[in-house]
Amino acid sequence: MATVNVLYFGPIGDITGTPRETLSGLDTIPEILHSLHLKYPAINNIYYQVSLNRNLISDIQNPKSDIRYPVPADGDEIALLPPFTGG
Amino acid sequence: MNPSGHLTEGPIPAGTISEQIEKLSADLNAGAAAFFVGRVRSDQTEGKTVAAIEYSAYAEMVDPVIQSIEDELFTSFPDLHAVEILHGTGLVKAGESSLLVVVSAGHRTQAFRALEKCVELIKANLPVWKKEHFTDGTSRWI
Repeated sequence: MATVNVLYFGPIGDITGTPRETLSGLDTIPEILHSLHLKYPAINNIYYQVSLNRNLISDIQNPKSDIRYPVPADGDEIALLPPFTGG
Repeated sequence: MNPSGHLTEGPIPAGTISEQIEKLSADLNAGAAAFFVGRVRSDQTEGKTVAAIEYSAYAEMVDPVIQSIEDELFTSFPDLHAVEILHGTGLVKAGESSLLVVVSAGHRTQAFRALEKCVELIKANLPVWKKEHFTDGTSRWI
């Protein structure tokens, strides 16, 4: 089971109260997201994209998506990215 | 230290624009340069007035995203010569500048078009978030 670094941005960082944390004991990205939703229920109200090692993963929140998510390895970086509002 | 050369701490300094003009002088075949400066507005919302916007970024992801934006622009605009993108982070007060985009091209038509396209791609893809800070001390993510 991988140990991954999870990064939180924008309003999600306010919900988690920390910009990053290390998680271990979970195998897949959906499992990681599920555990985060249990730990921080307010995340359920926010749309976000997910990146793995700074590459966006499409359609992670679409339950009908049949995308096969990449499996994170030790030391990988997963980020929860609310809609971008730069400029 | 900021892991991206495309991010400044605080607002974009006004002198950056003259530095960019100076830098352009090395290209003797770019007949046009177009500049976009994004600025913080003192918006009124529900009786509150915006005093500043606080920008935060996924700094390590900024460079690869800007590379992909530049790749798309150079593919779409063959007359394009150069693109420079600089985004402010941290607190940027109303009236200050948060974004500078400079594009140069052989001729003005593609400079104007590439500039607009570049700003739209930044808005859609750059991992940056903003939080409005109001004059009454409250704040909110937008």
